[in-house]
Amino acid sequence: MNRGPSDPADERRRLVEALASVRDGRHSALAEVYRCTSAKLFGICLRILKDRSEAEDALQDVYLNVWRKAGSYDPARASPISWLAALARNRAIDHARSSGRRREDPAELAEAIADDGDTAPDLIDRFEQSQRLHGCLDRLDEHQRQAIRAAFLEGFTYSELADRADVPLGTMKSWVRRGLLRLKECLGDD
Amino acid sequence: MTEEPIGEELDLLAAEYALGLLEGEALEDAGRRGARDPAFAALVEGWTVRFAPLFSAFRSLEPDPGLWDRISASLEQPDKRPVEFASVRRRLTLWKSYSAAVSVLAFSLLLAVVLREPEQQSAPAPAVRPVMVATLAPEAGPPRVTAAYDPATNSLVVAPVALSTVPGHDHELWIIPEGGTPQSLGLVSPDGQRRFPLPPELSSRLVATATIALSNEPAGGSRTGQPTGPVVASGTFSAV
Repeated sequence: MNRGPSDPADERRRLVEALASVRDGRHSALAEVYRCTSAKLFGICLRILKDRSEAEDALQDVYLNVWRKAGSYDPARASPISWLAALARNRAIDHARSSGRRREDPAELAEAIADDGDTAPDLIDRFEQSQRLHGCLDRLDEHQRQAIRAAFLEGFTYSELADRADVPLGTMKSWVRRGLLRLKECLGDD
Repeated sequence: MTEEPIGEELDLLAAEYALGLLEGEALEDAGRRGARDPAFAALVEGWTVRFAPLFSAFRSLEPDPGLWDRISASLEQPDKRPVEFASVRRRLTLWKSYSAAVSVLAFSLLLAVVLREPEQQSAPAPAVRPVMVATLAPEAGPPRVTAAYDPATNSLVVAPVALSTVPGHDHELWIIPEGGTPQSLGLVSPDGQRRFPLPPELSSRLVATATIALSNEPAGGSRTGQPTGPVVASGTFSAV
């Protein structure tokens, strides 16, 4: 199956148009959005939920949300894939919070979802923005950076982070908060 | 004793909320704050934007091939949220008394609309023979939009007649089955006719007794799934 053009600007334009068509109620447009983005969004849900069938449930909710909320997407405020990815991440976190169960990394999933460094710039809408964030993350202390990355990529709460790092909750909170303040200062005005 | 967070503390709270670090009561509090305080919501969005480049670290994985079929099937049955919005109902019962005697002008405009399909449609356009038309108008004023029901596609073809937009706002179209709750059909723009698919469980009999309404919503439409703004026009169907 043709996964689409390699030019990110083209990809972005197609997605913006497809989302506008979804807003007009076209099923075929949602199918197009799905074709272009489902692997990425499933990767997000799976990494956060760590369970294939829960991730598929969440992914289903994500596209229903896209169907209902495509009207609220504003291309001036975010790239389409960022908007979609944020929807997916939020939905996955909602699922994780409401299931209330302790999430472990099953061995067979670990390799599939492991972070092998950043993937090709299919998502990076602005290279400079990404460089800036990664540069600022690199400037943090190791435990600050790891905690913040784990919060974003794994969807952990403060208590889950504290458990995994085997530190008191207060310690983890202060690591993260100090890290966030330094990040914000490093990133400067957006 | 909790102090109300301000300044840097508030921004940190926004970051924690955006990242998903919060749980339980702290999460609920932050959620409520986001709903009522646009400044806080803006802070949350600021952090979301800051972290967006990190999305590239997620690895892509194909979901089960059958998943799209399940999604597609569930599009046909939108879940209805039975939220009460008595104020909208009250206004709508007023409009019902204006069950449209469709004006000749509105009807001929509508015929022109339904016979001329938009160019962008990818599938060959089915011939539309409207069996019911509705004129949506305010309590005292000219019609704003007309809506024709097309049974072949179970959709409404809606054409603006006199519709102006206010910056930062959109007009959202609702179908309210008699005794039922409003269901959003989407946003109506003033610059052309659009086809709005109807939920398939609405038979033409239910459509015939439904009220169609246009509400004034924030840009992008209501965030809640129910009308949040004033009803600017409404109408019911008359058989052609």
